[in-house]
Amino acid sequence: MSAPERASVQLVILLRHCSPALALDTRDVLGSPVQTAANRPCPDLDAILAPCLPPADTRNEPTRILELRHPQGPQLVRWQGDLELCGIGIQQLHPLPDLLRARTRCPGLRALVEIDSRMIPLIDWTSV
Amino acid sequence: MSNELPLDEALQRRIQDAEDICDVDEPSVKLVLIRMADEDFAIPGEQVREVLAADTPVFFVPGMPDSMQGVINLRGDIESVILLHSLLQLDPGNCQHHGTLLITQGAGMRTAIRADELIDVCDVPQSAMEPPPEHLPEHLRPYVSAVLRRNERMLAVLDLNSLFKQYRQGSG
Repeated sequence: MSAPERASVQLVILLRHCSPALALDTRDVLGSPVQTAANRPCPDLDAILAPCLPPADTRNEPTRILELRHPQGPQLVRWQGDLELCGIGIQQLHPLPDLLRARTRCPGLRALVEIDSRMIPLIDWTSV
Repeated sequence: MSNELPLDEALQRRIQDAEDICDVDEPSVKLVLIRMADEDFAIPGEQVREVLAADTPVFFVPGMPDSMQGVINLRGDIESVILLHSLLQLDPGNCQHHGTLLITQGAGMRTAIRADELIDVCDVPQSAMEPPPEHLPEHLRPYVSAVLRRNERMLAVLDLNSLFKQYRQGSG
């Protein structure tokens, strides 16, 4: 018999100032090219997902490039912060309540993930 | 002069008497009375599932309107927490982080609403409910199903179905 309480999902957690800020499905993250950010002109994730990410001082954050899966083809975006691959228990994964889903301004918001006493947005990049 | 009856018939009459007793109590409705911005409102009890402590932790969720405080974790499931002040054109005052949380349902949705104070939970005779009066402010008309006179005050009975539909569509 399966033990659903131990079931988990793998998510890529985007960290800012060492705190979870955003989650992505690992299937949507194709890679994180190690070339220097300056050589890869690409949009900032903060600009695309502005409502989900409160303005933050990112001067001391590392710059990373993410290659993300999208129906129109792989997309490169810049992220000022850290990344972590994390196994999340399914009890920490919360479907969106009706009114929240209806009123969110967060593009691609699919669910909320409870980590470290915070609720962070899980983004479906394919619908952003 | 007594009219003696056979025992069987006497018992049968008693049984019939008991069956004939009808409930003459007036139909009543359960209401949850709340205060928001110094105004009292009523919510039909059937639409209130639970009342939570004011200090229940509310998780902030980015990208939401000011009227959505966030979510609460209710025994493993999350529920949104909304303020009705904007829809009802009330001053939110300091209700942002204080006051009772009520888990409510309406229009097929469930959400917590934040009220300044839980006043009472009571049964009132249906006859105490009146249709919304002519002088009810225009902005309240879509959201008030009846009014209740209580202690010299008139309380609006909120129509959560209508409120939640409007909220879902972007009002408030």
